[in-house]
Amino acid sequence: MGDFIMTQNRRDFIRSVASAGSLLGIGVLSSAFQIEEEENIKVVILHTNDVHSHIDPFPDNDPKYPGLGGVERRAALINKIRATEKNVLLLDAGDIFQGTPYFNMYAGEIEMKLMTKMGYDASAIGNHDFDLGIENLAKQLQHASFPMICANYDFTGTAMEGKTIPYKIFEKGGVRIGVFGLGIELEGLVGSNMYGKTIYIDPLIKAAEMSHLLRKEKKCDVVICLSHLGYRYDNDKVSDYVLAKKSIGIDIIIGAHTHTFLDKPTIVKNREDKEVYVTQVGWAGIRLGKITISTNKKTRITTMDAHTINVSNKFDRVG
Amino acid sequence: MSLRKGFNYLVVFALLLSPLACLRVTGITSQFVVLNNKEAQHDSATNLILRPYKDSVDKLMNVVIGYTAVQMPKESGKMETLLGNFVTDISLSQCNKKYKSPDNLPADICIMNTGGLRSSIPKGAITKSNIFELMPFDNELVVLTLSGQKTWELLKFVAMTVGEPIAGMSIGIDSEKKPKTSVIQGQAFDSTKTYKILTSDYLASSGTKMRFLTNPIKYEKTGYLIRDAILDYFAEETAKGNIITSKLDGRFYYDTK
Repeated sequence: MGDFIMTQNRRDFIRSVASAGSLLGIGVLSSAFQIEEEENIKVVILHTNDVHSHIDPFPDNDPKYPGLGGVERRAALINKIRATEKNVLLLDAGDIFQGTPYFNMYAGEIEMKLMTKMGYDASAIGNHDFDLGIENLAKQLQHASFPMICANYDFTGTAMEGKTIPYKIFEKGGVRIGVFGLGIELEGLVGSNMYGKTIYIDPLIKAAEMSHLLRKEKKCDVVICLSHLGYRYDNDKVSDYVLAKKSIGIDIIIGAHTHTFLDKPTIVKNREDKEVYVTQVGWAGIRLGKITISTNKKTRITTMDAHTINVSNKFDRVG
Repeated sequence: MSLRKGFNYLVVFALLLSPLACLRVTGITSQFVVLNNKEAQHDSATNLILRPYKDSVDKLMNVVIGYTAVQMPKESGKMETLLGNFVTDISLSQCNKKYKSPDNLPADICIMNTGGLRSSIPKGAITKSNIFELMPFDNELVVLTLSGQKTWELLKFVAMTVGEPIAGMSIGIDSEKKPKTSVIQGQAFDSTKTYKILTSDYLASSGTKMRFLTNPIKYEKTGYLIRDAILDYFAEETAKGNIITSKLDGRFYYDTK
């Protein structure tokens, strides 16, 4: 039975379970599009990555990103979305630090304060967050009221010990969203004097552990991986793409590190042939990612679909 | 049962056992929003926190240090870039001017990495902040003496990866991305000689990509930050009344004759 189901794609699988439900007289609708609006709970996930201390917009004469970005504008946009959306989750996938004089002068303090003010719910840890040493990262956490989430760094015996969590579950309008974090291998990327005794654990092993825990034991409806592994490499280095392919139970991977501008998420089939959304919004706070998740209150299993919404917005929309 | 298969069974099992009341995702949609100037939106709460920091940063960093004749965009996947040529050229010239090696020999080649140049240099007025954004790291210039054999490894690496910023040399590569013609400081590469390589302490110690930089014959710290070399160059040229520029000079080319 298990093997039979696994050979089907998610939609077929869902349909087969749905029709089985109908036969049992449970009255499951076969299409998500027939479901009335009020039966769906909408959760909006907003996300950034690799902001790299870019607090002010790029100058108007910047060759690549003239006048783009800026934390004040991002805050205004987030507030605008919060004004119309009840269930918002705001996430960052790491590399908060390093890139402008704000970091050289204040060591990450203002980045943490501003993210706290904007109401970030969680962040992953990026390699550049170690740039002034692990003690500095630990110290700057005093200015953050959101957790840094990382499942695959063992910080035992370092200044970060006990200061991170592997995952967090958010309840938004009755929807359980499990978020876990993954960090990139630091050796060769960050000076060993900067990360100290931090032990890097295979992210694929940790991801399997976390998605199983969040899905099976913690009964999460949605599982999100906040990853600093990087989008995809031309060698066999572990990446979001590799993780998505080898994963089970992860719905969305919000990525970072490679500064990849994806106009829309890449849909990757996982080990069970189910769709995983891999996304990343470049860097420097130039874009804000917005993912809308609709969850049905009454029916058991329906369809899962993706499209780009052409929402009229005063901010330019991409994709 | 393999672990992987067991895992599959567990997940399928969990789905089948889901209680009726359990919520199911019915749709995921996504979009991106570009944050730009057209929307001069302000957020007073954010501004209140930011203001004192911004005032101090602007006072120190929003200072014009010189002017450029061309823009030098951060680019990757190109053989040569204006930005890569600029940073490696001036690092080499500034370091050879300011740092006196015990053996009195100047560095021959400068090599850096595209990923380490973090932002573009605009055309026109350049502020101190622009240079901090280009080179935010406190990376120090170091001079490594390499054997001819290790220098050959460097040439092979440069040829294969195509586009890491280099100065003090030119290289012609064949269609298989192997070095064919290499000229260092005006002379053909000689594998029996040693060469002095200027790079950052970060690249010299990272040991993953540029393996040839590890265990050199000699490792000299210069105490000179890359960022300071760039800032000094701007200050000196501006004092002379010069506009700063960069050009592509064919230091990297395909030699398929």
